[in-house]
Amino acid sequence: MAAAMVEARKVQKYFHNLHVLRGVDLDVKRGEVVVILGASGSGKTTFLRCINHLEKIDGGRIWVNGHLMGYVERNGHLVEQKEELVSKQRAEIGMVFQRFNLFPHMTALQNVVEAPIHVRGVDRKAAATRAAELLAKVGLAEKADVYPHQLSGGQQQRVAIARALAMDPALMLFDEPTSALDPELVGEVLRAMRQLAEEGMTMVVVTHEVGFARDVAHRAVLMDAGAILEEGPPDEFFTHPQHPRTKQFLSSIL
Amino acid sequence: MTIRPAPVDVPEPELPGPIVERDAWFVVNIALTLAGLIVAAFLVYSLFDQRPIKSFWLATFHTTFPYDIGYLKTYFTFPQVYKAVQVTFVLAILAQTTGVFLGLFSALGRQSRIALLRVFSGLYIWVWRGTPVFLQLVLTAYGVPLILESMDAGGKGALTQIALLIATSSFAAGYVALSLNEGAYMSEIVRAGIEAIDRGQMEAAKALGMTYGLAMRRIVLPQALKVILPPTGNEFISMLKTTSLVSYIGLQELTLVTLQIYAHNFKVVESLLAAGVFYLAMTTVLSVIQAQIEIRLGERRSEVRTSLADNLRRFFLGAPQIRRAVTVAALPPKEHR
Repeated sequence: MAAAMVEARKVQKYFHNLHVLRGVDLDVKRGEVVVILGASGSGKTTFLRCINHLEKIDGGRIWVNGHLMGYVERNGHLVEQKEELVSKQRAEIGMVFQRFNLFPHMTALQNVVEAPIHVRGVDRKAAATRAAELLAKVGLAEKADVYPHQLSGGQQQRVAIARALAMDPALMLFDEPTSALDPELVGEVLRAMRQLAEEGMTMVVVTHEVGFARDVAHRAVLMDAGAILEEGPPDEFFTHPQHPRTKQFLSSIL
Repeated sequence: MTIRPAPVDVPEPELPGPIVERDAWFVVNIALTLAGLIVAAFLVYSLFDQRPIKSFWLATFHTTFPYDIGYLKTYFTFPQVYKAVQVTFVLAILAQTTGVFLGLFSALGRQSRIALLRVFSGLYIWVWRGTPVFLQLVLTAYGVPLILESMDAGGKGALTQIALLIATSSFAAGYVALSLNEGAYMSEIVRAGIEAIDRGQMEAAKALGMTYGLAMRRIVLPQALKVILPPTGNEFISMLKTTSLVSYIGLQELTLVTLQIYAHNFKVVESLLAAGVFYLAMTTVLSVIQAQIEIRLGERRSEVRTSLADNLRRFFLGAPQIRRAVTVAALPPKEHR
């Protein structure tokens, strides 16, 4: 278990009567980049949100970094943990959203320093220095004092990546990070993600970017109807898909 | 496919920008504004001039309006009026501030995970919004002391102390009643403000490891403030006027003092009008401040600065709908299109 960053077993999730996750099993090793593909409604985003407990699960178990995520087990039942403890767990997991979700009342730099200062209690000056480094890393050093609405979508998403990295997460979750972007802005975000992968960050990425999946991911996973249908190394996954649903899905997006 | 020739580096003839054409309304506006200013100056002058009628116009004015308008000036020199204006203002500020906090807590209480808090907040809003503020005021002043006293068997406990305070101080009773009433309305305003903020903000904050409370304080509420502030300004203005009800339970605020003054000197119309002028002056100051804050909030993220003078002009004269003119110069020269 020690090597696995994420370990999901038979994860179940309902939205009222809708059974969205029907027993998802997935292991993500330390330093591994896993891309989750699947048609819309297949439950991939929901599963990703379960990993950092933005969604509660209705069955199964998710361990992150060896700790049961969001719950404690009592007599074989899951009991939700105190909010403070869940927050501590979440602080170790970075998340990047489809709609960026930058804080519009703060500058790029303020967005990045917000959590280190107010969650970790990092000294203001140290946080600002680190934030400037991170913004430089995603190519936005000169945009530190600019408000989100003055940035393009691609720039906003890169600030969001820097914001997540500022907490020094052990794991990064990406929820369709390029889906809301104009086509010409996708590349700059993918470049930042690729650089992150090369530095050995553990990443779970929900995306439709097949190119990124092929070049960067260690493993591609297809979700369908709330379960994982097929997984494998990208070259095999994309060239010799086994399951007919995978073939169908890949032919529809390639 | 054709390849367009690169733009040649020849200086383009400068295209003139749009010009503002003055239409007939311009003349009408100027004329009416000037006329208005003259009338206003005349009125203000006549208020403060009590010497014998000097002109035909003034004579006309005095016969159609046979009241002592110069009394307004005298009215403000009454020490009890000066005090009453203060009491009115202080009560409005205190009750409104308390109401904002009560509204904030009950709005958050309604979303709480704790069922009891949700029920309590819901009941509070339901009852206080659903009954007349006047009834609440009288009940607080005359009913609550009786209730508290009967609840406190020993007669020396904290409840009796509160009962005594409310029973003896009409200010305290008015403050309690108006605050509670205001809190119920502010609750809805705060709730609307919080709901106006995209859920993604709370999620992003939580994903960064923030607790609900921290995320509310640092991320959601600062943004909700922009939605909450304009109706809160309206509430404050409304509060300032509602304080006049507290006259019924004997607080020496502007309305009660006015009633007492005209009972003394029989200048009924003049006294009431003078009180109206004071209320209007107070609410006007608040409106201008409110508008100024709103503009400042709106422009914090843009470079445009609006001066107080601009704001005052907009406040009193309004702003016409602006039809955007197409800027001819912004279009590219013809041959490159």
